[in-house]
Formats: sequence, structure tokens, C-alpha cells
Amino acid sequence: MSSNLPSIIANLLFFEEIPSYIVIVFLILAISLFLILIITIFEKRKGINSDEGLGESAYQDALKILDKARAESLRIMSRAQSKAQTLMDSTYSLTDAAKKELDARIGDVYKRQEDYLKKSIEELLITFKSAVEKGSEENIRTLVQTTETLKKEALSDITEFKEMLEEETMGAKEELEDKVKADYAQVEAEIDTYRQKKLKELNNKVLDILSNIYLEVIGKELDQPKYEEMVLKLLDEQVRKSGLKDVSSNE
Amino acid sequence: MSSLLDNKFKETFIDALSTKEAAGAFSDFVDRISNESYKTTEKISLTSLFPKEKPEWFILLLDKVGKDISMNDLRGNLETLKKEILNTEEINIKMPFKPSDNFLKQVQKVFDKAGYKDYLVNLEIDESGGLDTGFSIEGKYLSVSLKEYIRNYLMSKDVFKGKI
Repeated sequence: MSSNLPSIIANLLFFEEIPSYIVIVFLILAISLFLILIITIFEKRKGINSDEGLGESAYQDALKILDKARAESLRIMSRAQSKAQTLMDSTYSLTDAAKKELDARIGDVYKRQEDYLKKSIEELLITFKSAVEKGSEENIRTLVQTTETLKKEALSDITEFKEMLEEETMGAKEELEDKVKADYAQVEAEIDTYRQKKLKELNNKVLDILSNIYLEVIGKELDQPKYEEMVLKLLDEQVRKSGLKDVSSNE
Repeated sequence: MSSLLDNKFKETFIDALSTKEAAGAFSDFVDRISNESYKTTEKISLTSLFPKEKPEWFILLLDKVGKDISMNDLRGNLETLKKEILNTEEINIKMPFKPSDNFLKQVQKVFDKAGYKDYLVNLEIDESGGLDTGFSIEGKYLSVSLKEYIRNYLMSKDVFKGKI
């Protein structure tokens, strides 16, 4: 029965003279083509699933990169602030107002950096979602590249902030050093003035003592004519030199 | 008679008076003249009203008035002169003892050279003020201190050099 099957099929197809082995070959080819078709469809489906996996992986990678960027930016900022604080503490004359201003400025930079990262991550996630939905491998690659760019930009801003903070800290330190120098010069001048004043007072006391001694000695020897002569001489000298003074200036 | 009140005579008369003390004596003299003039219409001997020592100003006045003078005119002019004399500027001198007349004249010369005119010397003796003499006129003052003089002398000799 089975040996007659090709003959029966050949008869049905009106090819009664076609040998049965040709029919067998044809059947084998048809089955092979079917299998190839099935395999192709399976592989195609498998490829689609692979694209979805790529999207998920890129999403996870992007989150890791952003987390890492955020952690790194906070670490850099924290280190820079700590260094700045150490520098500030090493100088004693920083006023409360200056400390408050510095804290406010650092706080402002922190907030701006945090807002920037938050906004960037939100925008990136929206873009990422859109790319995954479209299922485009090219979009996902672009997204990964964007994430890397964002990381670089974020870190670049942090570096600038770090440099700016260091620069301002050094500037503040120099200003404080100048202020200390100025304070020192002022104190030195005040001490010198005080010393001169005390020296003058001491000179005056010594002069008073000496003058009194001289006056006592001279007074004993001074008779009225000599005294009058001396007064007239001094009066004439003083009137010629400076004239008489206003009474008000004597009070 | 009117020359008794002219400026030139007044200047000479103030110079002759010299001190406020003398101006006081002149004022008393004018008061006596006035009193006597009301008692009689006869001529009065001025010298009899100033019997003691005749100061320079009195001799000057006597020369100026002469002998033939109506008492009414004399009284009126003298009272006017007295008022002006009492309003004359003063140089106040405060010193430890009464100075000689020569000293006062020399002082006046100094002030004359400094441009002050027509003033009387008001002398005040203050024995408690040490050896300082003070001068003041027209609201200005000058103190001559022997101690200050010695002090300036010591300073000019740089007595502190190398000691302080």
C-alpha cells in the first residue's frame, strides 16, 4: 500500500508517468521549507525579545550612571566644603556675618546642583520611556549616550563648583590675612601712639620737677628789678612772636 | 575850653592817667569839683581840691584848664571827660607784687608797639599765684610764667637727650 502511495498521488496530479522518487524528493523539500519558515518566525520573535532586553538593560545602566554621578557630585561637594571649612576655621577673625553668608552661598550651590540633577533625571527617564516604547535600538543607544553626556555635564558642573569654592575660599583667606595684617598695623600704631603719649607725660613730669627746682633756686636770688626785667623781656618776645591769644582758647 | 574834650588831649590825658587807680582818683576829683561848684558861684582853686601830691594828670589838666574858667563849664566838661575815661579800654595785669612805675611804662610801650591805644592799666596783685604774670586786653590774654620760661629753656637745651 505504501509503495503505491506515490503512484496514487501522481495519478491524482495527472502525472502518471512521473516516477515516485521524484514525488518523494518534492515532499521532503516542502517539509524542509516549512521547517525553515517556522524556524525563521521563531528566530524573528526571539530577536524582538532580545531588543526588549536591551532596553531594560540600558535603563538599568542609565539609572546606575546617574546614581553614580549624583553620589560622586555630592562626594566632591562635601570634600570641597570640608576643605573650605578647615581653611576658614584656621583664620580666627571670620565674623558671624561672613560665616552666614558663606553657608548661604554653599547651600544655594547645593540646591541648584540638586535641582539640576533631579530635573535632568526626570527628563532622561521620560526620554528613555519614549525610546523603549518605540522599541528602537538606535533610540536606546542614543539614550545611553545621552546619559553618559549628562554624567559628564553634571560632573563638569561639580568640578567648576569645586574650583569656584576653592578659589573663593582662598580669596576669603587672603582677605582675612590682609585684615589681620591691617588689624596688626592698627594695633601697632595705637601702641606707638600710647607709648609716645606716655613718654610725653613722663617728659612733662620730669620737666615740671626740674622747672620747680630751678624756679625755687632762681626765685630766691630774684629781686623785683630782675623779675620785672625778665617779665618785660618775655612779654615783648611773646607779643612779637604770637600776639595775645583769645581768652576762650585758654579755657 | 572845648579843647578839654578833643581827641588829642584825651589821648594825652589817658597816657598821663596810665592806671585805673589814677582814673579812680580823677573820678573822685571830678566829683569834688561838681560838689563844690554847686555850693558857690565863685571861682574855685583846683589845687585846693587836690592838696596832696600832684600827679602828672592833674598838672596836665591844670595847664589845660587855666585860671579863667567858669565853674559851670568846668563841671560839665570834666563830667563828660570822666565818663569817657571810665569807659576807656583796660589792660589787666595780674602779678605777684606791686610793680614799679617804670615797669608799667615799659609794659605800655610793649602794647603800644603791638597796636593798642588809649587804654588804662588795671593792676591786680595776687601773691598766691606764684611767679606768674598775666596780661589781658580786649578779651585776649597772655601769661608770662617764669616756670614756663625755665621749662622752655630746659627743653631748648634738650635735657632729656639720652636719658629717656
